[in-house]
Amino acid sequence: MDDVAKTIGVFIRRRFNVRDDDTQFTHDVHLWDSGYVDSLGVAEILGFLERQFEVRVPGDAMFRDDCTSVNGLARLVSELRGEPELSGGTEIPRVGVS
Amino acid sequence: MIGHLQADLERLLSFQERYDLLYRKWVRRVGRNYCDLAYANAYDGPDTAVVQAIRDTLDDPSTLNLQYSPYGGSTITRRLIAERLSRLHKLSFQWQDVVLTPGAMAALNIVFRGLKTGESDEVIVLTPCWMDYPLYLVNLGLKPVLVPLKRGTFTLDLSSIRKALSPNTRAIVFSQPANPTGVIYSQSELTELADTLNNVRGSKSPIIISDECHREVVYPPNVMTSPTQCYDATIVVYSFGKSLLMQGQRIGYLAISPRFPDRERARLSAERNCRMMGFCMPTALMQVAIRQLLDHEPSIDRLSARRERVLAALTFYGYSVLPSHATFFIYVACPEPDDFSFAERLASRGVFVLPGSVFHDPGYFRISLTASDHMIDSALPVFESAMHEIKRSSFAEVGASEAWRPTTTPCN
Repeated sequence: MDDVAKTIGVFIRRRFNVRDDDTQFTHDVHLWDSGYVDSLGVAEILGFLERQFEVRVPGDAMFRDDCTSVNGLARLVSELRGEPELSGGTEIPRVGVS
Repeated sequence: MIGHLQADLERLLSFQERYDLLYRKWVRRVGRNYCDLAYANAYDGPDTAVVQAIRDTLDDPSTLNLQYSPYGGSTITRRLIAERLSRLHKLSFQWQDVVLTPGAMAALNIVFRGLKTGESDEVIVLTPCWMDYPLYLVNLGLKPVLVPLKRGTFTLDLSSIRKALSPNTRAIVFSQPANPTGVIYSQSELTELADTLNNVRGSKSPIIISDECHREVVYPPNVMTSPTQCYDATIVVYSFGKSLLMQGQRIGYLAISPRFPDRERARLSAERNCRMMGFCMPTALMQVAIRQLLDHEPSIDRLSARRERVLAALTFYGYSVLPSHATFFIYVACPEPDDFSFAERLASRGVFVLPGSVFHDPGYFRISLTASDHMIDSALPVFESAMHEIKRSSFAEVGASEAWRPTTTPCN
């Protein structure tokens, strides 16, 4: 699941202008309450998850309380793939977005 | 019936409208001699990075970039601005503290609207001031209480501010750095002002509305302190037009201090007023483009050289010039009693400056350094000849220039 979380984190950094030096952006931060993703971003993240991980995300899955963070989204992907749950890290690789 | 305005609004509108008549009268006659030192239009244009950011946004394949955004503006942009303000002011701004607006004018209207509690709400306005603070206040049903800055230095006159405070005072508004004077209020002045406001009895302490549009245009070694550093109940208004030299693109914001009392209510008020006032959302294009430009700063070297040249020349010609610390502007005592007459004297030769009356401060005029070097070159001899004429005339001894003298050398 760590790789999935890292991939999601990189996408969010790139797509939603998260700075390299933003130390608040962890795998557990609330993506919406903290302003990392806006309301329109839900559809973009959904599309990314389906394309990148070749899963079909159920319509209500993104509204689950545990799908508000990178780790939550990674758990969702793992569930949809039928993978066992693993512990998630909190470090997100930086990709040169500033 | 449409278009009827109360007398106060008519009067407040009249100053700039009078100037615009003068401007239109002369601008067609002077042709190629036109030197616009009145308005802060950047004749050199914005940096290429600014234009490129707008192009990049248009080229971005994201289909929703140019669609509706929430009241308060794009969440991503608000977060990025909050992060920048946090670094700048060493305070923890959150994205909800920032509300995007089409420039500072809309931000001011939103904040002023939020001050209304009843019929007798007052706002202290330090003068000279940006021209339309009083106009907006009266339009929204608030009473502007004009308090002059100290003559000569144009610093805060705390004694006058104390006298003007009343139980009805909801706020004090000023620009930092100051437009039109170019003065930066010092940290000690702001601390003293904060102490004064904190000691207001009988009602909640007034808020400070800090118009920081010129924050990035500060001439070294001067530094600017934001009132947010000294006073909790502060709201900053800002426009990117100055730092990016693209004033017509109308993108700015208001930012509520993280230490603001009743911060949640202030946030809600600002977002609601965006909706209620109907005109307070910036274009989607600029909300996205600005993300690339948050750390962009104007070239101070060019402005600084221009400023020193104009200050030195005007002083040499005999003008009393305020040695500014910041902003695009130079503020000068008018060498004849009527600042409009003087502005027209210059306009008739192609040089346009704004009379101090527009800033609620008759007897002065403002020069904008955003004109081209060619315009500055052409304008300086006109200033010189105008002064010679006035010295020769019967006005020579009675001009407002006698009211004050520069306290330091002009090029400091």
